[in-house]
Amino acid sequence: MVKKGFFLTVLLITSLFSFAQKKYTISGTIRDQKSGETLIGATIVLKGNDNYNVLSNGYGFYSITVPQNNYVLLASFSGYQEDTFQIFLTKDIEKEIYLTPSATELDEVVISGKRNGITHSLPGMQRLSMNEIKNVPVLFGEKDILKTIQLLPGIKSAGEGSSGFFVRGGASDQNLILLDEATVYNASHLLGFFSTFNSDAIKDVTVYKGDMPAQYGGRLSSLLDIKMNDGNDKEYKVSGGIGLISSRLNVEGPIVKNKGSFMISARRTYADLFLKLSHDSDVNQSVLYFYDLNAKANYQVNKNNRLYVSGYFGKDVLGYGRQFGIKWGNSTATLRWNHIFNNKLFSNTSFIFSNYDYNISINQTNNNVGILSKIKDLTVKEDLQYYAGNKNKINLGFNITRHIFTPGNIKTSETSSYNSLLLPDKHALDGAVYISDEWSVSDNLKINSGLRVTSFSMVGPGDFYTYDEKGNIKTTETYSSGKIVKSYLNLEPRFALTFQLNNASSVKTSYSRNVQNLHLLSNSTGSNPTDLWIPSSNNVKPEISDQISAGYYRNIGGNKYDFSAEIYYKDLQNQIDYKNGAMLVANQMVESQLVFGKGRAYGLELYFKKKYGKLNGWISYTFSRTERKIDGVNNNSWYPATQDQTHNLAIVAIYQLNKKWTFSSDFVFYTGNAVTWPSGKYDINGRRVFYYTERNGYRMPITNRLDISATLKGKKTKRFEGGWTFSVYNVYGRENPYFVQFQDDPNNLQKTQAVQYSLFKWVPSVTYNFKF
Amino acid sequence: MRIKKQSLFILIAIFFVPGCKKVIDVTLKNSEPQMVITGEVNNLPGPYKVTIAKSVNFSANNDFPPVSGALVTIQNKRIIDTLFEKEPGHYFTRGLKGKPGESYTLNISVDGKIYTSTSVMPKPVQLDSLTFLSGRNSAIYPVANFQDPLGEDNYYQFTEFVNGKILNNGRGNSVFDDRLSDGRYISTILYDDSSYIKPGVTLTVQMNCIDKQVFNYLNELLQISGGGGGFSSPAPANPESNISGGVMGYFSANTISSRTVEIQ
Repeated sequence: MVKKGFFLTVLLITSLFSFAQKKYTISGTIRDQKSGETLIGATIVLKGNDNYNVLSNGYGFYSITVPQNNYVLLASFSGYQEDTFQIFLTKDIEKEIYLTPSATELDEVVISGKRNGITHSLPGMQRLSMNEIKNVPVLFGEKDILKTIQLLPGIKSAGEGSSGFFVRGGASDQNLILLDEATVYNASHLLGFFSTFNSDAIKDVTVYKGDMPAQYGGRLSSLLDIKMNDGNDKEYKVSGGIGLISSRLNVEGPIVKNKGSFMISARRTYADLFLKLSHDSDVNQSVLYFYDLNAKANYQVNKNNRLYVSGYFGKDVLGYGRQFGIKWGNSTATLRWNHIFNNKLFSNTSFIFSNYDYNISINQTNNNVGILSKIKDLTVKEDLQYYAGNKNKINLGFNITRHIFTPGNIKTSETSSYNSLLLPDKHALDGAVYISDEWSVSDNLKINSGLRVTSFSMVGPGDFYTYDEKGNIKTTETYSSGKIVKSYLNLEPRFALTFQLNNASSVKTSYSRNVQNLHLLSNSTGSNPTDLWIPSSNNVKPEISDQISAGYYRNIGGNKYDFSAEIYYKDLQNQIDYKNGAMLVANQMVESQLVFGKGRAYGLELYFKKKYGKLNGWISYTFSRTERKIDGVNNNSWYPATQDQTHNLAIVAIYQLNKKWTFSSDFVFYTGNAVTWPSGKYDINGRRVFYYTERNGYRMPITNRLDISATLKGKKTKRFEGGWTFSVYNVYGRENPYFVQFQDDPNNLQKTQAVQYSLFKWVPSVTYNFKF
Repeated sequence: MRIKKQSLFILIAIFFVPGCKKVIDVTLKNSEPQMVITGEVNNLPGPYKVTIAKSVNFSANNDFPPVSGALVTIQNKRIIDTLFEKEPGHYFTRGLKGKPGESYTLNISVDGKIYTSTSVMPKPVQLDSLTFLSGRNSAIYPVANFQDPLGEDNYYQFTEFVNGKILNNGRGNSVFDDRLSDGRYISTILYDDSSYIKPGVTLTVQMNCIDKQVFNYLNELLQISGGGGGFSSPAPANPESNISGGVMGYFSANTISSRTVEIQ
């Protein structure tokens, strides 16, 4: 019923556009010839008296309605050979397109007609191909999506070797990370040194730095949209890699040839095996590993219906002797139904489950303590894409999520020093409706506009408190199940304008508002398994950001090079910080530990990319500032946020020497982040205590590093393909600052000193990869 | 629950073998000398001491200029005790006797400014016994055992003494609160620098029952100790003193219970 309602709305909207000339629709799905994988964001150009173009959507579907005529259809996608077809458009046509992968991955492809980047994408949007991610050297030689995107302008690392990241001055919890539409709450393994995403299972990675399409929302800074491979629907394939500290295996194949396929990808680290060599019983009984599993299956029921099931399961296990253990992980599951109502209307319905939990067990003296905390989401999403002629593409839909928070359950034994504690679950309802329109006003003007309306409600059952200034409970109110405690309704307008100056350059400008109703409480800015998510409530207001941005985009040398320059300004409301000494674990009154304020961020991002040829790669430079003003912090005046890094430079180069050898390197150089260092010292009961005058008034030393890797492809036989990847992280062994500690000088007790700790001084690694 | 962080870091250290550490030159700003006050009243016979000194710049020697000539009083509901300055910056009570359950107010007048603080001495809790836990590299950690009274908020401060001497630079200092432990028999591991604790030494653990404001102060103090920023720790800030008037330090009325053990 709901669907019908939406359908009617769409019809109403589209009736606004009248058709003068006889027009027909050409539509279909665009796929990889060899594997049957759908291609996301492929370009379809119709060349006739006039030229028209459209991109395939997230499921490879495209549709365009143009005047009756004879056309040449050009289909192209990076890394694939372009294909052309003669089209005599005298009726609606369905055209399935299969593109053949280029012989070498880095072949030059010159996309005909209009340039992709300069007109199609939203400002602040960036895509990375898996080929690029595969070749960029990272710590431990494990290719990694999250560490690779940190080399793009405007995206910064949350510390050395960390998969955590900051986008345009936002906090690490302000990134929406979607894996096949499901929210991933903790995107890192092993305390941040690995990302939860196994690159083998990933098809497409797109980052939106604030200007996200209206169908997405819920985080302030960015959307990282990750889509898994569908699996080869033509033949069975096995690939994998064996490395020093981890191995992976990927299996895919048809369920029913050309109709359905599956993909299973698994990964396990085993670095902790080395711990077994230790004689220390606490060490050799310690464990530290993670595993994860991506699985996906899809089936084309008939021409107009396709079903997808995909899931992710990951777990980290860390144990110190028998005394202490922690396990944490995400699991997500998505069921999706693609339905093509007609050649202009595409629908995707998703049912999504997402869960993040951690489980701590402590077993010391007579203390047996277990702590459990989790967040669980159930979501229904409907997205309709209506291709109204050749000028408009309309998206509309809704989503509803039910969040259940388990803030912290403590289970203890009889003899434990701690009491068992069951903090009641908290419930919230999160809903959104949206509509957006991509409008090609003229040949050189394009307008994206959208509106997202979000409603977030904290609902009972439970006791809800208000607090006085000192954090003591002022009032307590008890709500019964399902009763609304507090609701927030927000309008999130999104607007972007693209003006094409000439065949090779364009300018874009945008405004967007984002609202965030889930907030991460963490005692560190990096990633921590015990991170706690809390909803907006009677005490915590939704975080709001307003971003304006503008950019200039240019293709150089016949699409060989891309250049872009973007500037942005962002205003942040209701930002959250903690009181000094805040207690966040298993605290029912955790909201009393919070303080609120505002933020602002601005910056300039330059990006120059060489896309094809033997040598390719990019240079990215970011200048930025990000500041906060929080009640009670830094005398209520503005101060730089921790992630404020003034200059950030990254250079990535990939060089294909011949068919056997590929070399790659990345170099990073950035200003130290803002830190709070002492400006004095005093004595409390014989302890040296440092005196602070301002928040984040100092800078860490500069970080710079060069990583290199070399990939050797073995002889390729018909059935088998193998290869080695060698890499060295931090080649010149620079001691980059991880943290700085202030302490007594052990050689002169009358003095104090600053000691800098560094994590990694050149880390070599080797991986063997295979495919058959 | 302090153990958690400790273990995480040990594991990271074992696994990733930290590259290295080195002393670096940092240019730190100078600051105005700050008034630093520490004072205590306890349930043992007096005299009790109040110390007043000033802060210095980071690069200076660890000599903290004492503040002399202050008028210092501590009062409860019965008497006002005016402290005498035995040596510069060290002030002692004359006849005050601390009693659990009573409220004590510190008043200091110096350089034309007034500083005040009130602390309530909690009911005493006895430290039952000390036991020991062995850790990595034959480290020895003391475990304090005691019964937490049911139905009231209790806050504890632990101080370790080796061979009767307080540990260098505040090591062996920790706090514990019964937020998650009300009414339990508590065995809490005192994780601090245990390199001082070796067979043959005599270890004394002193357990103070402190009030909530003092606990908050000490908890903040312990959290910022040594920290220097980076992404893994929150930005340090000056702990909020329970003494009004804009000073560093704290004033505590607390009970004391100690145990001494010779380590075998």
